[in-house]
Amino acid sequence: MQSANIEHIVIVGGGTAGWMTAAALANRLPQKLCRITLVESDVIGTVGVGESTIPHIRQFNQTLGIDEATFIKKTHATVKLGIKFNDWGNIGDSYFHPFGEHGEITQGIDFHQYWLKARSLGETYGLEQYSIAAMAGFAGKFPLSTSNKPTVFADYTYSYHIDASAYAAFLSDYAQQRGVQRIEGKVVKVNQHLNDFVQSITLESGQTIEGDLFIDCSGFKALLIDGTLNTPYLDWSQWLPTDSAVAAPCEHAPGDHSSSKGKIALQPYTQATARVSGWQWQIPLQHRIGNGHVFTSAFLSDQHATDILMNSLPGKALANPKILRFKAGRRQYSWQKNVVAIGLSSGFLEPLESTSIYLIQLGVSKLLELFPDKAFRQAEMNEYNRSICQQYELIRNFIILHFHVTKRNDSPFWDYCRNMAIPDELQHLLTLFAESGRTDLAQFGVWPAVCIGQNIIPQHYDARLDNIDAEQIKQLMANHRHKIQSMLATFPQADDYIQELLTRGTR
Amino acid sequence: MSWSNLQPQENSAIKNIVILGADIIGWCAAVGLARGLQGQQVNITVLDCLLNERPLNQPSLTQSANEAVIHCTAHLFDFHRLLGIQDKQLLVNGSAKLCSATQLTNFSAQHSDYFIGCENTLPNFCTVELHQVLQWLEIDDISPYSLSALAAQKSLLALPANSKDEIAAGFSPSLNLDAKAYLRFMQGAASQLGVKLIKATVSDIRYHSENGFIKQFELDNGTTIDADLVLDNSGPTGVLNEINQQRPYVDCATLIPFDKKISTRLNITQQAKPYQQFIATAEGIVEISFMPQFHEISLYYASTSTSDEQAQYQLRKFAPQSEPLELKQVQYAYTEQAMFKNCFALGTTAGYLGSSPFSNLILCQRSISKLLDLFPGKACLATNSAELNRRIAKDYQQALDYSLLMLLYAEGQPSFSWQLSQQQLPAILQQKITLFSSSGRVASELNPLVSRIRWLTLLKHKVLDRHGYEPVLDALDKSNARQFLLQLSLKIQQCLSHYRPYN
Repeated sequence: MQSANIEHIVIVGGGTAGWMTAAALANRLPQKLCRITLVESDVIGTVGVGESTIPHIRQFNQTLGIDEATFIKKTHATVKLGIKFNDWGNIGDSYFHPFGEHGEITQGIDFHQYWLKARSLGETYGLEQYSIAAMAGFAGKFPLSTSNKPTVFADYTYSYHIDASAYAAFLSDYAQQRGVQRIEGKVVKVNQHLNDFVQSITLESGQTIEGDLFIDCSGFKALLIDGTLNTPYLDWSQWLPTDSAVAAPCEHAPGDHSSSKGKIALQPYTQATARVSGWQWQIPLQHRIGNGHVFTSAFLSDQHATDILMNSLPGKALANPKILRFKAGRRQYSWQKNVVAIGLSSGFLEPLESTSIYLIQLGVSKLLELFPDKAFRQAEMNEYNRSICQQYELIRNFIILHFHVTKRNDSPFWDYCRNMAIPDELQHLLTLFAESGRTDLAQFGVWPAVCIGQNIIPQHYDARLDNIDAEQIKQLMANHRHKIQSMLATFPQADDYIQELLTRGTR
Repeated sequence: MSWSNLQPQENSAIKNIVILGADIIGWCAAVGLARGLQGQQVNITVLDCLLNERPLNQPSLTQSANEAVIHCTAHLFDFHRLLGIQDKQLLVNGSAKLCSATQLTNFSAQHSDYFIGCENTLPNFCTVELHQVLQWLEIDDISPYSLSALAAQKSLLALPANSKDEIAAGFSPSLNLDAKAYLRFMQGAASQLGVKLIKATVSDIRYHSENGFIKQFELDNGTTIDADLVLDNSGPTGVLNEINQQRPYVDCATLIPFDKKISTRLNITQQAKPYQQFIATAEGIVEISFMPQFHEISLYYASTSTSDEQAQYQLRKFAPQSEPLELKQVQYAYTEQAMFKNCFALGTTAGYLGSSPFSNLILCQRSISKLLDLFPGKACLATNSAELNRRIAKDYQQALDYSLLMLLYAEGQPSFSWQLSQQQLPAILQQKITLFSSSGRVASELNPLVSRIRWLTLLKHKVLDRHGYEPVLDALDKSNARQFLLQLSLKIQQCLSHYRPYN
């Protein structure tokens, strides 16, 4: 029997999570079905997570009908082909984690297995030489994908660096144009029904807003999911010990690449540089560079962390450094009763793999997939919580891998990370890779890039390759490198691609 | 084991593969491996052998070597496409007949008879899937909206169109293979790919002393065959009985009480039917596969509640003029360690799920694909084997779950003693039913044996007590939805009018 429909959805908190949620709900749910209200306070700042994103954001924009040119203009975005990791496996090391696998599967054998075999034959080319995204990234180029993609493209894809606050503002307009009501105010009280479901919220102004479904986008405060429903938080800091970040934007400095149109050239990738007790990000936008230093307060003072950041900015600082605190982990249940936590209220995984916006997107898309009626049945909640938990754990394991698989021994932080016990599933996957270079495609990220980048050279390559003539393998590798090199010449500079879209957006 | 302190091991390339058992599954595995390892100078030998005096074609009472028809889901096409064998080639050489539906008779108190189609996409109304729309409009009968089920009912040959039309192209028929023809096809293909066949009796098996891996088979004709990797298709109590006793098996007897199968062939002159039929009876489950000249009819039953005579009597009701009956003992089980040392379990050695729509052949083919994905070296590295076993066991678990839902689960009051209530099902399947009965939803999975749409289609038939539908529908116009259904029906009728009779 069908229960009554949700008539009013109340989103508590704006920011990236709140407005992405509002926009996606407004796009999918007819106004005739339910009202959507978003409450946010101008006095409460937002964390502004996720300047660096992963390719799933393109699907999100596409679903909302947002075209790329408008998006790039409104969010001051640049393109992103992956992440360049510096000093992770060891000081002085560097590797590129591209979007998309390397090479192509040949004779049913993964390409990185050929690379391992070629390496055993004395070849010294890096794995990234076989990635269209990595090589284009280093050249400051942007691979234009066509419907008739050459095989060297493999499963290449791309994403963006964005101004997350601008994205939130853009989506705020989008959502309000589609009927979402924005109420400015600070929540001072949460009122519950006798069955503990949230009935309403009361604002500082005295206004009370009743709702059927409440979405907690209040960030770390987790006003509803924690403050009201006391849903436990599963602490993962034993595996992800960083607990602080200091962030400061800066001006552009002349880049490594030169654009054909004379603008400042931007690297089409994020940089993540390991530091003594954490790591530092560098994210180029059109109008500035986002910088931050993620660190562990037990090993590094705020001042020291700030000094490390400010002394390594590539350009003039545009704002004073701002400190953030966090604890890695996730909410035991992201959906409890009539409250769904999306964004930081649901969990926090540090931004090393640019997953914050993806987790918001996942939260809202799963909610729409399992959208409830007023009965709020346990089956939907269980499935939502199961799938969110699964994704959090996949990403968590992938991030832990970066910290754990290191030879760095220059600080107590790295000693801790290197020696810490890791989750069983990660242990299995790392052993699988370390032993035979095998990966599980259900996992998050490009495992060979990160594992090999951090110096796990598998003990064995696929033994079948011993049955193939060595010269044939060398030839295959050479052909692949040459194909990528010749393709590179045909790609535009990444900056030119952005400029072209901006021009198109103003036409 | 920690990733950071792995012991160094030799792991050179596998050069010699021995497949025990020269039946369909053995030859199919041989073709799969020979194609997958083409150009790599790997010797593949199929050993059609005897161990002491035990004939290999009857190594175990669960062996299905004598079946004349093998019912296969559309996964069969996937496997052969990977091997470079086109659909048409497979159909011709396997003397195969396409089946576009499964007919279930007497399984439900509400519906005595219904057809489950083989759709792989569902039409959407304003982005909401068809089954949700039907629930919203309080339409119980989904069969008028399944092109494949209707075609089966009307005895039409439904072929998916080679177009983007989601109705005309959106289904994947299963097929009934003529076992003998398919065996010949696979044997021929294997032979062309250089696979060797040896017929002999195994007089001794030699093992590597350091790890217990099989090293050689000694044959009664005085020859020996080297083996780096053994694919054991000789049954759990076959040639490698000793090794298989160390392999853990999941016993499904608590869920499926059947331990016997009685079969017969009924020669006919009537038309074949484009579906597979299952009939629930007090004794157990009757399965009928229709081929042009004969029907193959089997009854799965529990010897604790039904005597062999009662079973024979029951079967004779379906096939009074049939050929002599064949009686087999069956054991529903599957292993969680398909790869054990350097022995890879195939066929009934890997498991037996009897009347599952996912036949042993399909499960074997998926296992071979997974073996090629994680193909070992001579060392058969432990973590690699563990990952391979995990992936294969997941397929068997899904096949079991689907089979339980389709054939054994009965909502409400079971009609027969062997039927299961929701509480008796495995936890994952219970959750699936609960979620579906809550609001008609099914969770997605990555590369599953059973696709989301396949689950949906079955759940729609099996779970009658649905609570809700997609709430978005209430904002839509019902008359538009009815118009959509009308258009859909017309489109389906139009497709049906283009199909020719099945025979």
